[in-house]
Amino acid sequence: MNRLLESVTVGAVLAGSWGAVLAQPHVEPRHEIAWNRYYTADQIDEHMRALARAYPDIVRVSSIGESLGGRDMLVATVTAPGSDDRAKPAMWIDGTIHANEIQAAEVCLYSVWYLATNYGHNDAITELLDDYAFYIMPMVNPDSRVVWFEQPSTPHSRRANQLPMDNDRDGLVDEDPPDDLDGDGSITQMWKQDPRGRWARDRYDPRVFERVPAGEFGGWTYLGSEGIDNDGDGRVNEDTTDGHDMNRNWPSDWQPNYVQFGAGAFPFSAPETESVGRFCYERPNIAAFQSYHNTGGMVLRGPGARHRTADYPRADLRVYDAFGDAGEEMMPYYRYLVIYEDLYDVHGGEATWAAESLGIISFTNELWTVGKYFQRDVNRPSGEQMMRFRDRLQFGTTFKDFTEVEHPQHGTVLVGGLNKWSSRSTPTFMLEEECHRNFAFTMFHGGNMPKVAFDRIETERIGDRLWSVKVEIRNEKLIPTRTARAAQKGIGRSDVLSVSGAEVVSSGAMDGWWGTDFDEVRHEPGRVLLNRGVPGQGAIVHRFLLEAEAGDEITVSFEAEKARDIETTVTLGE
Amino acid sequence: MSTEVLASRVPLLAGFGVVCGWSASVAGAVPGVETLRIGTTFEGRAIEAVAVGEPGADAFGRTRDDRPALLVVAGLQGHHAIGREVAQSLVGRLAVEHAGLFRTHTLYVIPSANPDGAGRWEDRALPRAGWGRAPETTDFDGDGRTNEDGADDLDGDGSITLMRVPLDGTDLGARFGIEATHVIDADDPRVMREPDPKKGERATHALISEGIDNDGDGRFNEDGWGGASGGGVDFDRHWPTFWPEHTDGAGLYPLERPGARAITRWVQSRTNIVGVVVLGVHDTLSEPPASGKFGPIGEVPTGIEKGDEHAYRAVSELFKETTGITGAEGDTDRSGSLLQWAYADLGVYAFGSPVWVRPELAGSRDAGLGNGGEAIGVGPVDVEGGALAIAIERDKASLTERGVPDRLVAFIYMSEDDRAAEMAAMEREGPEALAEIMQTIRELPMDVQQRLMALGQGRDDPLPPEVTDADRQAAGDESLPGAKPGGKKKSGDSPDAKWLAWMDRSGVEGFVDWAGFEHPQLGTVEIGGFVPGARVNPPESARDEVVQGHVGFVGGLMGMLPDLSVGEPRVERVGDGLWRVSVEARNSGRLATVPAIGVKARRLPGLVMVLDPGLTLDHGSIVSGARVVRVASVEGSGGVARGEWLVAADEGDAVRVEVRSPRFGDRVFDVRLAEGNGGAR
Repeated sequence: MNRLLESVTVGAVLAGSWGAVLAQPHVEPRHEIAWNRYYTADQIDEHMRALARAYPDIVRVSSIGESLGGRDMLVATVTAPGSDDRAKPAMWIDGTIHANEIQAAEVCLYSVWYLATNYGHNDAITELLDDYAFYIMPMVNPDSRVVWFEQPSTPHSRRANQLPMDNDRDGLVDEDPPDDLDGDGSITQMWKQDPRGRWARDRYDPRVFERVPAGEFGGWTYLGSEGIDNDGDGRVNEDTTDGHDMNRNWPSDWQPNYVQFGAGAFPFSAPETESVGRFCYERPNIAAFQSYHNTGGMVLRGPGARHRTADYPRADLRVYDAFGDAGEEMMPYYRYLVIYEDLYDVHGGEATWAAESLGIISFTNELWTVGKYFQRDVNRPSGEQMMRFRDRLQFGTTFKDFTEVEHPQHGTVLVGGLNKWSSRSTPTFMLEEECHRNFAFTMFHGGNMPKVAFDRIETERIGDRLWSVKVEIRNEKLIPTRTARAAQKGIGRSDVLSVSGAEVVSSGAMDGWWGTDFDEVRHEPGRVLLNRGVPGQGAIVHRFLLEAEAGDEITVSFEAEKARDIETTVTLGE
Repeated sequence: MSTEVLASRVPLLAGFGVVCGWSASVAGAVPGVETLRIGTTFEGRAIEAVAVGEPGADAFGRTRDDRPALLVVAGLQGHHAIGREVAQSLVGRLAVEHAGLFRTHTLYVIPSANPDGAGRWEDRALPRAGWGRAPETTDFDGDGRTNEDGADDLDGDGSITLMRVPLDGTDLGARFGIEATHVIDADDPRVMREPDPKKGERATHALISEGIDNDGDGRFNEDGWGGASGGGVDFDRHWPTFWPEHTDGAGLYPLERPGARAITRWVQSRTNIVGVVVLGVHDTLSEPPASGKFGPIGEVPTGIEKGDEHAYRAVSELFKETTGITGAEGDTDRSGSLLQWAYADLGVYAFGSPVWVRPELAGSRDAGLGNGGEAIGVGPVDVEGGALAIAIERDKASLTERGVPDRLVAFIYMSEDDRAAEMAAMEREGPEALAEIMQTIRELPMDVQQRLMALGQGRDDPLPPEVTDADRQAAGDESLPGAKPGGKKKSGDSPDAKWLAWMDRSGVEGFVDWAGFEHPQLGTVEIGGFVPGARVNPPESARDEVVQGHVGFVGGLMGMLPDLSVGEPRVERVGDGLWRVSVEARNSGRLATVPAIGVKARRLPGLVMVLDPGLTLDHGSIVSGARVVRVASVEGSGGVARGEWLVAADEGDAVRVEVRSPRFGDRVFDVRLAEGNGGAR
């Protein structure tokens, strides 16, 4: 390139940048979505379909099955126009397997929207979709999202699916759900005046109940969450329509219900989990996995139980750590943690299934954390601080004032307090940032799926008709084409390196480009199985010995489930 | 024999309410036998369950699918033909020989749990291999090719056996990475055994399943049907309990095969199933599994719970007595088996019978094949008379210990004529005395009731005392292996050698003699070994006995199953307008209503007793508090569960008592509050 041409090019780039600065770098979306609010299950579906209509060559929306309640389970396949998603590495991204963890759906929807909107406008996003595909499913548990939005709920209820279950084992099913006594759409708390009660109302803010010191009486007794004892067994709200926990319903380290509540009848007994499972098993090109939950501000990796530690080989942990550390930097107040060590034991979880059964790098993000209320390290704010935040920043939208209600068992009670929007969901004015940071973290993960290319190729005549062809294959990204887990358990197909166009009489793996070791492949030396694949940010070298004439053309090809297939032609003697 | 004839012959048992309701013909003609299609396999075959039970409602309003049930599952592995055969025979034989059982209990039989595997085994156009997986397209070796290197019937004898490959002086080890692991036994050159390094032995032969390296990757039979791996799903490793993920045959995920999933869903939906018997490769009956041992989480038992030991011992005794099987060489790894799942997850009694074992492991049946079968049972048996007498005395002592009155113990061991005379004598003692005897019988363990019933009807004793080796030894038989004075251990003691010795003795053609073969890749090898299935499926001549043993076992086990009868609630005046209402449920079976594992598993409610389920009483009138009483399990042999409430209400008011149980049915009573009152609804 000559100097003149170079300066012209630099000038053009500068002019382009100026233009971008002058006109703010905004891309006009073909489908607008407001990111300061939450959407019902129907609205999420409608936005998904609208994005597919607006970007038909980038977003394809299809149903991968029916939920227990008969709803379509929509997945968006997002990739570059005119490309085959199954011919390139892909990432699975989902949310709201726990339906009450509502913002997980918006984070997924945002991901579809951002990718579609910016393809062709932003180079990084364009490259992502050119190289990779993304399967994005906002609602793994759509039935319970419907119930959470439409029926009285708490921040914590509707986590499970809606399978009819006899939760209290009295022979009756779903007979004691919560009751919205004050008709506000949320299940809040009940208090009763009681001279011997151990709680007192704060004299400055009577919305705040505080426990009194031992030996004192405060005048109020806490009766638990809003409801009546519908079945007369002395317990309140103990058998709701909520069924089992679908994040305990996956095959890896699945344990029955008595070990872990919520397991379900057997692994994949729920149609929702089975649909996701089948989709992923049928697509061996899925090379990265992300599921969104709330709450606590965490980037979680497996194992879910101590006895599965050996299922996460050291080489894979180095890859996990690279992403986890990036996550802590990209998402303030988020911590990178190990499920069983830092949280609690999870058997048969979804993200651990992806890691252990599919053998891919897999994270769970716990969205939203209390530190983000204050944007500084306030991890245990006082009740007063929280109330100030709710009053001054949320204008009281997450609190229901107390009202008196006649309760059939307790007489006059006070009903009110924190409503279902109060504690786990990101405050709506902060939702877009939450979506974006998590999306960006996940794209950092997905953007590091394997990308391989032939690097150096050297041919050498070493006999009359005998040739040596040394081939180097390099993976520029962090994730290897075969994780150590996949190699350890023989998950999926080995990568295949083959040579055609000449008779390969022997071949062997080399210990590096300048190495001298030759680990001979005695059988099928022209079709070599590479169980350990190509490492992340590294290369493999293989040497073929073949019989051919000068001028013959040979073809070298490399096929991997989790990288694009590549092929090159070499003419001997050149 | 018609019902009337039976009834007239056995007035005692007619009074007892046990009348044979079955036609003594084939199962299809027996009323109350229904074949249900419960699923479809991957290859489109039907999976069927046979349900046996009187169709009408019983005194408690329960129909077949409400009464406590035993489930028998067979054919999980295709080559296990004897399991399927026994399971199929059970239905007809039990319906005739233990007809009375089906008024109070239900039997479900899944005779072929893996019809695709069975289809592969039965297809004689294909060579047989000693495995029985559900065929599936797999790429077990991860080379991108599916089922490309299974076993091959190189010698064309219709069987996949073994190749023994001499490695000395060859470069096969280097070329194919195969290793010498065995030597030829000097005592019997048919036997391949591991070398004894203490004697300076070194392995000389590789042992490989019959076949060639079809795909040229240097490995033999590593991915395909009948080979060393791949080629299908093993239904003995496909259930969720300790599912061996990422191992050969386990499947992509537990219950991935539609047949396995259909069976599981159906079993889970039949909440009246209180016990499961698996006829297959596992033996948990000749010796109960270890108790108090758990998997990595520390909660799921790998054997049984300590609390279930006694029940398992009792059932083990019954099994040994009825089948004669006192040991097995079966598969001891129950990871992923339906058997372990039925216990540790479903939470019911679950037993594995190996169905047939090498004859010297089957106590009394040791000499069975050689002499054309040995009569087992009560009667003038002269062969081994001494041993039988010992067994009878043991049984009598056991009956007495279990509370059977002497008169009834004697009844069991009378001649048929004496028995008829005894029944006539009981009749003559008058209705009150007869009623008393009936009551006594009703309170006996179910297996004893079954025996009395059968003998009273003129049939054979369904649970005759079993002569064991110990009895024979006690009777002075010195021909038994254990009785050999100073018996020395030698290489011929290996299981393979014992199998061969037995086959030689009894003329069973169960071994393909090693014969030379020019292998295209390995040079001169020998092909031979046990005929597929020969150590699992007995020869024709032994089958009747195997079936009969299991009819006795399953009939006896059904007789031990829990059953719950709920008495009418009682009302007692405690004070003015204050009443104590109580209800009792009694388990008349030998086994507890819910085993210890079921209490732990908490899958289903045990027993729920509810006062005023309709919430009609004023709040606060149930003075004793809880309306709902939960009972996890009721002990066997007459264990009682009690629900009791204090109610403040006017005299003459009605209250409702409801007793719910998914295993034993629901009952509802309306009770009027008056001294000593109670009334069933």
